[in-house]
Amino acid sequence: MFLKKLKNNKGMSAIIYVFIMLICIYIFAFIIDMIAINQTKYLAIREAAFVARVAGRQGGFESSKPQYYDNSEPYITGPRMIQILTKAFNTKNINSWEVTVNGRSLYTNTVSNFQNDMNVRLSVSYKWGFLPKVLPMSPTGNFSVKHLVKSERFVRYEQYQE
Amino acid sequence: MLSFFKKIKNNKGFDEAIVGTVLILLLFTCTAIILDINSSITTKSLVLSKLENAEIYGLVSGLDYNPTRYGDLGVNHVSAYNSCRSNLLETRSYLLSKNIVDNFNIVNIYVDPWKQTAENFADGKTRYTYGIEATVSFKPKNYIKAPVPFFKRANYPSQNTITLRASSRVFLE
Repeated sequence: MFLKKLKNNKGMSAIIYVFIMLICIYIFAFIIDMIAINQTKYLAIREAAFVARVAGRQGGFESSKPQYYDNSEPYITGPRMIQILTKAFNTKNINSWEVTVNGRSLYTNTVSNFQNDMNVRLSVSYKWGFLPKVLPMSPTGNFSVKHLVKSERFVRYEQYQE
Repeated sequence: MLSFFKKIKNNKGFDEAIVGTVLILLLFTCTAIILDINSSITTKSLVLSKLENAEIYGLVSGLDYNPTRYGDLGVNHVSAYNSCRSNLLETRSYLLSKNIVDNFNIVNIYVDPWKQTAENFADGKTRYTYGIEATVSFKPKNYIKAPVPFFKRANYPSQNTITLRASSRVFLE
């Protein structure tokens, strides 16, 4: 029936159908990409909130558990936090991301004393996945979440003087 | 419904134009709705995380720490309120400058000493928890203002202002 209709319309219907199909494919690819990007943003928001809360509770990150830190509480070191984030972002195939505390990487010492401000920033780069396959373009984007947190930890400076 | 399609089919020529137009409009409307719902969910989670963070920020900055009175700490309510409010105002300007929300109102901030959660510990000290509660309302930005030509956005559900209330507490030791 479809072929008969195309034949009767002398080519015009074919062009219309091709256009409609193309529009449908573009819209479909656009929706899929937008949903994927929103999921990326949602994940970044969730992980940024987690990093901010841990940074506030621990007063930043160190490469190992501080000597005088409460033994009853778990301590997440900087490299361990990066491992946790890598695992979370790998589930969404996000390879380009960066997390900083006061502009410094988590591999460095980012300790802040009680009631001092810390700027926690998580930025994620994303690419459009489906649309570049049907259109000659490759849009990219960057999304960053910033949290200003207060340190809740009293730093005992004697441990740094030893 | 079936008779409607049958009628359109019999109209020879007129059917394609109408069905095509309706389908395209439907497609655009569905796309707009999907995008707006998606952006709304993302914005809601972003505002919620900002709100909770602002509360903890306010609460911690309002702590009245005195090392000699271990287990007997208090919260400076005025300081906690002001810190939470200033952090939420920064959040508001950030969200507006990034074009994430159309409006963002700080409805209420309330600092509450939840003394009913006081616990007595083995060392004879009583530790209290203090809480802060903030309420904000905001309107997520719509990607597509008018998905169907000649129909204003006002014809679609416009009451999409979301009110969020979050409460945080810190345990003082």
